Amino acid sequence: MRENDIVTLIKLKKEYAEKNLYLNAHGVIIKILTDDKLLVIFFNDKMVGDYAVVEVCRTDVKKCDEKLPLDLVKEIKQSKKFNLDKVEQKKEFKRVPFNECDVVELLVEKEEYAKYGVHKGAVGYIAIDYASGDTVLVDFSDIDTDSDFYTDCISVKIEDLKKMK
Amino acid sequence: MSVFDGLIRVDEAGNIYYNQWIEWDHLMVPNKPELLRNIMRNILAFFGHCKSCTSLDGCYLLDDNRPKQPLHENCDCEKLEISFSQVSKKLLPNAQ
Repeated sequence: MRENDIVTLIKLKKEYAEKNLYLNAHGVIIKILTDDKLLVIFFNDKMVGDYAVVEVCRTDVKKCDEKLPLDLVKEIKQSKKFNLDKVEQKKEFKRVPFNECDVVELLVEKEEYAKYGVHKGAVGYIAIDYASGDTVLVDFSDIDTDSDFYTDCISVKIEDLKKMK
Repeated sequence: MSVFDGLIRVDEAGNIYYNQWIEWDHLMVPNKPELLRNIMRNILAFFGHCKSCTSLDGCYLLDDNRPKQPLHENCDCEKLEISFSQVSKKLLPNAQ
């Protein structure tokens, strides 16, 4: 295995699970530490944009056939944003507090939701099983006072929602 | 389903228009394989690329019924004109 190879986690040890990693999580090798240890940046499929930099054993991951495009690899190496010291600070995945089809209530009144007719107290369902950044897709479909069905599936910030029992 | 569905549309005055289909394309996001697509979306999100744009990549849309480009400043999206036969192959892969 080499730097910039794409790998999959095939053994879920306790130390990885504590960082919210999961079996078959995908990542990219950013540094070969020793003959046995690799530094891998894993990407969270359950929250697009989230990542965790984790030290793993070679035997705990499997190399994938797919490869990163060469021009992207060059860009990563030249990028000031990809500062290894800064990136290494984040060592675990964030956890999405909702699952698909969970019933949730909107806790706030905001223009970005009100323009779709969704107001504080509205009840909806989590429409998809992953988050994009800090937002999830929520289905606020309902029947209005004229008995007409309306549907509105909108992105809502996770912090603006509360799971209902 | 008519053979013309998706190919043409008729307005209220009876005028016929050919639908122009486009594929939404974001820089460096492949359509396949799914694994590489997900990894690229995550890497690009890490570099600050818009997640809405990368999620639209690969979608087939009607040119007159799609989000306006650019979606935001420094947007890396463009539209690729495609034929209806490409669209129908995706919709009806088993059709002759």
